[in-house]
Amino acid sequence: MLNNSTLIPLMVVLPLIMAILVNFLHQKDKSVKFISIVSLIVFVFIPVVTLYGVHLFSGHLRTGSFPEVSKILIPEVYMGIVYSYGAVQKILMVVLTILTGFSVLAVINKKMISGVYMAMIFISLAASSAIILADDIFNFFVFTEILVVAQAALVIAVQEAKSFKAAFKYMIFGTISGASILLGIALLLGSYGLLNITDLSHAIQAGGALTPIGLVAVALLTLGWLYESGLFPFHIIKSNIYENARPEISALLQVQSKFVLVAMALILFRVFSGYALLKSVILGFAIFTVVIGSVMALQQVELRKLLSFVAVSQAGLVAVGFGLGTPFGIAAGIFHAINDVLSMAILFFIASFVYDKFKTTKLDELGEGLQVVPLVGFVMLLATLAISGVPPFNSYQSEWRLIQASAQAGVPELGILVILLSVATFVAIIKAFYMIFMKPGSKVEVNKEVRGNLTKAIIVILILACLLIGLFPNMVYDPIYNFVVSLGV
Amino acid sequence: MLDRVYEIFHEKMKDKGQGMGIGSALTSEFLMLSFLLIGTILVLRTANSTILGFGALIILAGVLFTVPTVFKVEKENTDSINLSSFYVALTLALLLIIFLGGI
Repeated sequence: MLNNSTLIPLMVVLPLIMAILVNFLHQKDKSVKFISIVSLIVFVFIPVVTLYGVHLFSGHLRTGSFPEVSKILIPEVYMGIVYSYGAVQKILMVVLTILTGFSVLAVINKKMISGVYMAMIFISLAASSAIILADDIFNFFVFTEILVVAQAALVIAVQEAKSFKAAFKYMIFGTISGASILLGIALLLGSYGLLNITDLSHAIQAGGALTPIGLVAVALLTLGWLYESGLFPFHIIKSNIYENARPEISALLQVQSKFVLVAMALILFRVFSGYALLKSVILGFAIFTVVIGSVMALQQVELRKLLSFVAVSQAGLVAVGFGLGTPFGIAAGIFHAINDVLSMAILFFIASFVYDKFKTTKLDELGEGLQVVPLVGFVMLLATLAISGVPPFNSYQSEWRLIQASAQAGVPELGILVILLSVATFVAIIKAFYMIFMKPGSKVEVNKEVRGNLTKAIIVILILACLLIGLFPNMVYDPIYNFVVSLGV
Repeated sequence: MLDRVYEIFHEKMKDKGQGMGIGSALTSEFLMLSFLLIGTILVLRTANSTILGFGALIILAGVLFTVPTVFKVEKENTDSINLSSFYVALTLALLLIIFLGGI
């Protein structure tokens, strides 16, 4: 382990600095465009070259054991923030920065360059990065709040009444969830005098069974996790956000939500590692989200809304992996999160292209698209197969592992649930594919000026990435599995 | 009820378009029933609680007698702030009961 790696905090600090810079350069489009593109190259480069390790912001001393937990008082709080960078963080950061890059390029390509808009994208990137890296529960909370504000701002920028409503509701429930997380943290701080996640985990394990205050903290933090992840009962709020943002931004929002799901679930599992009931509760909410999300997706007749519900139900599937609670299940869940964000990003970029080309995403108005844009139709078919877990694509590898993990955990019924979700996802998206590209009798005019070469390049790159991971899954899965085993959750 | 489910769907979906709309609603109905059945089997097999077992069976029976369920699910899953707030409050209560009660 490389201690005090200076590159680790740059993953958070640089996007924040760039956000301030492009904000100042608002209306100077050429400068904003240049800085955004250069920044993105740097953002992708840093996680790749950074070595695994930790960064200590203020000389925090790690504590191995807490023999006298009950005597720990508030004045002895260890306040040093720690960022930790391991295999899972590296994979998540690389995927996050690349997909942020694609979203920013799509925004620039549409001549929607705005200093403030770019600033919000960069702030959301900084917040997501901090959430992935943070080994400090209060620092984690601060950045979840920043992420919610930045995401709401990206939706508000659409400047339509329904996007204002969606962002407003997202913020209202954000306050409930934020208060819930903060109260949970306060209860833990009051009980153990600690904010560092590793220390807190040691202290709780040394303290034996959780006290009623600790149990209330678990409940409050779980509610916060459900909101941040977009699981039931927040699935409607989250799908509303995906639906009302520009589709190329929805591609980014769903990545952030799923990675926050993974990061916060890992925190919950580390802090309350010996508490089995938490896993059962997570599993229950995950199953409920999978069911509701897929049933709602099947009902939709608008492409963006349909994809939003598919994204929510797939988040449920990621949570199923965590709910199984075994290292194999958790690793499969994280692997599925990575696979799913790639496939969903393709579908959202296709929705963006369809919206630009045909000026609508209402399925009953669209049709005969294959004659106009055969490449996009072909990639959408491949992406449908990818997200439905059809070999040789990436989601097949993760769903297969989830089914195996279910059987190993003694709940093979969940394997059937995964298969049913795959069928539902396939039916929902193939219906959209048919109605956009094959249905005779289109009611829309084709905008011939929109060529969408950049979007076409992005979706081809992403589908190739899906295929590559599907053919060589171990290059992604093995580091994740080893990381999860090393956590001992 | 189950034997005339297609007629019920046809009647309910007159305003929402024909063909694919009815097809996908039927698919989601059968998926919903399958999910519920699997969920009940899971609870009955794994939960060490008579209350949970009885609860799951009663819910399953109730749902089977009230098909089609998808329209009810759709009605409950609107972006209404009232409904969402209700479900959030219900969830928090449920979490506290489960964790503090240790069901």
